[in-house]
Amino acid sequence: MDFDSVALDTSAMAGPLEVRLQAAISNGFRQVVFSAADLVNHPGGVDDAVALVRRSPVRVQALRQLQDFEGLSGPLHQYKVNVAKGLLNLCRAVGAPMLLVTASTVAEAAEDDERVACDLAKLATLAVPKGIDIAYQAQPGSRVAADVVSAEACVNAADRANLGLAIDTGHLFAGDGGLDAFDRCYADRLFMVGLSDTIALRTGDAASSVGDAPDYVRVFPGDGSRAEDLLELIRRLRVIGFHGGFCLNAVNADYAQLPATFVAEQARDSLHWLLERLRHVDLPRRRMRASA
Amino acid sequence: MTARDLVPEPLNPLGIDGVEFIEFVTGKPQALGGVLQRLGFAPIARHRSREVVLYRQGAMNLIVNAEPDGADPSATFVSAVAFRVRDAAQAMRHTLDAGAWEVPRRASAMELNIPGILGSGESAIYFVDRYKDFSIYDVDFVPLPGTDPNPPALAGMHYFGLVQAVGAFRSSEWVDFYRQLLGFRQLTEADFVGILPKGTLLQSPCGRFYLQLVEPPEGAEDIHWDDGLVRIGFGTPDVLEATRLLQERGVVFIDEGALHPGEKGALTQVYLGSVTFELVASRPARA
Repeated sequence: MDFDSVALDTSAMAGPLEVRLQAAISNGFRQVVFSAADLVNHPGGVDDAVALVRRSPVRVQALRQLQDFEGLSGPLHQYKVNVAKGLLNLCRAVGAPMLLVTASTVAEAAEDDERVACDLAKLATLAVPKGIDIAYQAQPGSRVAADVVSAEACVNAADRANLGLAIDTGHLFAGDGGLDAFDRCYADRLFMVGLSDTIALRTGDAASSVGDAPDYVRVFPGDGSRAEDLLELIRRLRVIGFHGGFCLNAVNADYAQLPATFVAEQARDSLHWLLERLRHVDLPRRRMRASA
Repeated sequence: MTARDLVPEPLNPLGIDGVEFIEFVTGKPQALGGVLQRLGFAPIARHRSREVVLYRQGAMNLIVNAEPDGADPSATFVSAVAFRVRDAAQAMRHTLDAGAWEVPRRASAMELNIPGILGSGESAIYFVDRYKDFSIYDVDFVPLPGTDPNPPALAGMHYFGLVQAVGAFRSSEWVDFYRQLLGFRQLTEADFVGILPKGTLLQSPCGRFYLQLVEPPEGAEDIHWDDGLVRIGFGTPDVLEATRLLQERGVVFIDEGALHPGEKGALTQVYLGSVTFELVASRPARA
């Protein structure tokens, strides 16, 4: 694991695209993960945003995100196919070799394993001529894949070489998920790991009864309460032969009202914290699949 | 259970029955035409309204489209392959349902009602179902006066396959692509042919056409390596005889190091900065 192999998810930062991009660059990041909204909301238009990114020294590790894609039917399915095409074209334009896809949370999504597998296979096929990988991520509340094990089952059922799994450690810890799921993951199917920690909060007011379910604030690794689990997770990734990408993705309401440079500095310090503790963990270098 | 188990793949879902034509796009049609004529092709018809010429040799149709619409108007590259299929409309439905992109209707010759999907590097894969009693060329093309519309093949040459450049570590997904959409199957190394037996070899479901997927060599990260169809392979039952005949016509074959014309195959020099052709030992299939 080295500094250059870890991306910063710019969603964690506030401000215009160029401000966030510059904050990431000036804090040493050479890879970023963008939200598609970052690009299309750029005041100069998407072409200008793409040109800005292409001119910069950063490599785009992935674009987020396609959501609520699988398990739909009829016009809704066709609508989502068109949305997917738009995002794949955006990936290609900006040079992102991976599109993040979160498991469907819409009520209409059929809990039909066969349909889900076929839809994910179709999405992966759409991505082939564009030279893009599809990273499928569990989503709390999804009836299709709410946890890592379910998401991996979907990916395995679809069985396409450019379809893999993305894991969000923030979701994992917020859901109190164990690390054992990783031991059964196939490294080749694991495309990306989003690194963040969490701190549990109780958000009920003083008059409310005890026993409220905790809420969580997502923070960078080293700043949360699951630091040891996070380090153990990365060690286990080493054991299974993970060679995908890492990104830091601590999106929270506080960081959204702080200067981008401040957040990027937190990310940089977090990464140094990780590297210091994992200096003996020799993760294989990211297998560099060609990007568009 | 995987998607492949859930939806068993028929052996030849589209009824592929060989190649109807291969298309080049070029900004140098005269120079490319010269190369093709040395290879035994003859121009036999011209498009009614566009800068497009049909070349033919034996059963091989080759389109030269001189209306480039890409970033480099002077480039020459293989821009399309058209497969003969049982039902072109059904082929489109099957492939679009499985995740293909329909090619945009460009204003060029072979897109007149010929459906197609996006392939590698912005190339197109067309589906043609009128090839037995009716020729797709009869409508759009005007025969060139004084030419033989059916020039014989030199040394039994026929379309054997295409070489496709793919990005690093991306062969597997292209195997999935061709298997899922077109019914191609991956061959083992024991089935490799030609003088460049590397990469991944796929065979069409009709057994008459091959795709060779080639990734950039290890340690060549600095090489510019675009996805796309990079070479046509011509089958011939006698490579040495074909090589001799083509050399007499001015075709230059690479003959250095491990690459030299032999019984298994031969590779031409690079023409027009990007175009090569390969001979492969192969007997033409009976139509």
